Amino acid sequence: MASREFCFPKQRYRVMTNGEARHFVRFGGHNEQAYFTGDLADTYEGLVFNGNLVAWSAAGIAGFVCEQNLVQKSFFIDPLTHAFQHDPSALTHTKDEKEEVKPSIQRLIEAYGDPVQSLAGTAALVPDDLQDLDLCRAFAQRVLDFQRTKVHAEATNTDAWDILQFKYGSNLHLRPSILVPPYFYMRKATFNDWIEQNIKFAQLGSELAGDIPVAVQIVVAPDVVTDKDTRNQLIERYSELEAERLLFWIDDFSEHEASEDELLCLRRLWEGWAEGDKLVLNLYGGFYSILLSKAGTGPLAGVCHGPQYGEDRSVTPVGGGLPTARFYLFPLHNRVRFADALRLLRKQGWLDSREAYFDNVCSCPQCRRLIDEHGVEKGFLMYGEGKDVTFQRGGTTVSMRYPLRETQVAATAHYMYSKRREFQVVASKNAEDILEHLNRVHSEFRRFLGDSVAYLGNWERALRA
Amino acid sequence: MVREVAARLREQNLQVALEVPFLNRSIDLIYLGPDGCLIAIEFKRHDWKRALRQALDHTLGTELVYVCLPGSVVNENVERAAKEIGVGILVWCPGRLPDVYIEPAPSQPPIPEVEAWLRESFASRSRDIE
Repeated sequence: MASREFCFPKQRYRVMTNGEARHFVRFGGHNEQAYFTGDLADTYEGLVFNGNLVAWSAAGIAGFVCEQNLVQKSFFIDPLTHAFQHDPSALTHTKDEKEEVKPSIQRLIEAYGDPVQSLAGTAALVPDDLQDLDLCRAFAQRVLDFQRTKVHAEATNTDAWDILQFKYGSNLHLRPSILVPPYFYMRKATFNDWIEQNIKFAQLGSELAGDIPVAVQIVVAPDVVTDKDTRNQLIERYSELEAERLLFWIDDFSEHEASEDELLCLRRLWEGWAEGDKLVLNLYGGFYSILLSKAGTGPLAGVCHGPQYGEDRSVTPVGGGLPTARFYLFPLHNRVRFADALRLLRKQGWLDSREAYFDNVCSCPQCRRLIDEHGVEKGFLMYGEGKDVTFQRGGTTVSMRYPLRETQVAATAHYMYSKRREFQVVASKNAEDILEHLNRVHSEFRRFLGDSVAYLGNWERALRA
Repeated sequence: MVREVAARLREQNLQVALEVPFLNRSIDLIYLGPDGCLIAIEFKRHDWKRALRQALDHTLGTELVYVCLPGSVVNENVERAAKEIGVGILVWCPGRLPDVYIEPAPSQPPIPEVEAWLRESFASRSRDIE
């Protein structure tokens, strides 16, 4: 069955091409603006904002989307309602020796009201809290209204608003292209508890959304996908919904580390929905998902990722940690440690000349800029530049080398160009050629990199099955 | 193991640094040879495979890289794996400097800029210890 585009209301001023995959990137914070604007604005089609970021800095988000080269992009807001069902301490931090709800979450809670307002930070939301249909309807309405109005309301206060209205007409309205009803995380052990709530809110969403299409978010643990019974229930229950669009997130699932069986179960799930005429967007996906979004062949209508990170994500993320230098190696469709990339490129002779590098590694504008300025070897080394950071760990002085800010910016720009290239390659080549290519790359690099490239074989087999 | 070897090298007036940051790892021990070469040593009691994986990165910055292992761990498999990547093997000897089991024989020289990174980190860590 041919895939359909994941399309958006025409008032976003974009001309949609039938069958074109939708490429979204999740905006994690204002310190990431450089990865989304300027030359990089053309590397993706749509934006996703986390609800707490919108709640906390709506003016900043509004200013950002009013940027000249972003105003025509689709965006939507993830309401993050699942956050309220987990350990309440995940929503709090210690301030002046007191536990308080984090400020960005507090703003979200104020927008959403009950049932989350009276519980947040002290108790987890459970299905029993969602039995009153009137309460649920009012909650869903507030969640949708927040998404519908927050960014536009702030945008009308920006300096750029008058200029934008002059350019795009008085009908300009910075609205999300889809609205996401409340949703909750499901594991196999809790599936029966939460599926009914999720379906209820999906139905309420369709009832309350008005003229903006609804997209129903589904967040599951891998065991829900790999178990045939729960997988079939997901297909059946969500296929029956009025909403055409589904946003999918599988907890802590790396396409590079998953087994062939897990990858195949995921594909079967998406196919089940696509056969029910649903448009499915994978919220955290890599090249395997991009392959499955190939128009006319794959069941996905779109893929989303973060800028360098975010091809997989934990539902309850463990934050923090210091950055490490990684390079997105296009031939492998994976972020690899800079040292591994350097050794591989040396061994293959891909640093011997500009042509060797551009033909075999990358010819994106970022790589070209560095190589034009510094030469091939030194240019590539710019992706590994770092500084020594010394700190105390367990009474011992420890020094580690961490990437410079400029290094991270360069590596992320290269990543964004690489992802755009992946969508373009998948759109332009036929499926068989792509699968043969995966097989070739796997055979070529397994001698040098061993099992760390096993995913290439898993992807090929899961796609051929 | 690391600290004992470091102490014995310093007794010979050699400049030594421990936990030297390099390409998102840290090298257990580096010392400056009399001819100005940097010698990197990765120490492990059991996990020789991990030692060799870590040592492989170090070859980007210096030609002279060793793994130091207890004698009971060293065998022909370890020797073959080390020779394949051009890394030398030292055998740990309590109370004195390790014995050289095989010398390093890298297939490619270090990249000058990467070697410069390593020297910079070595110089900085040497100062920390002093």
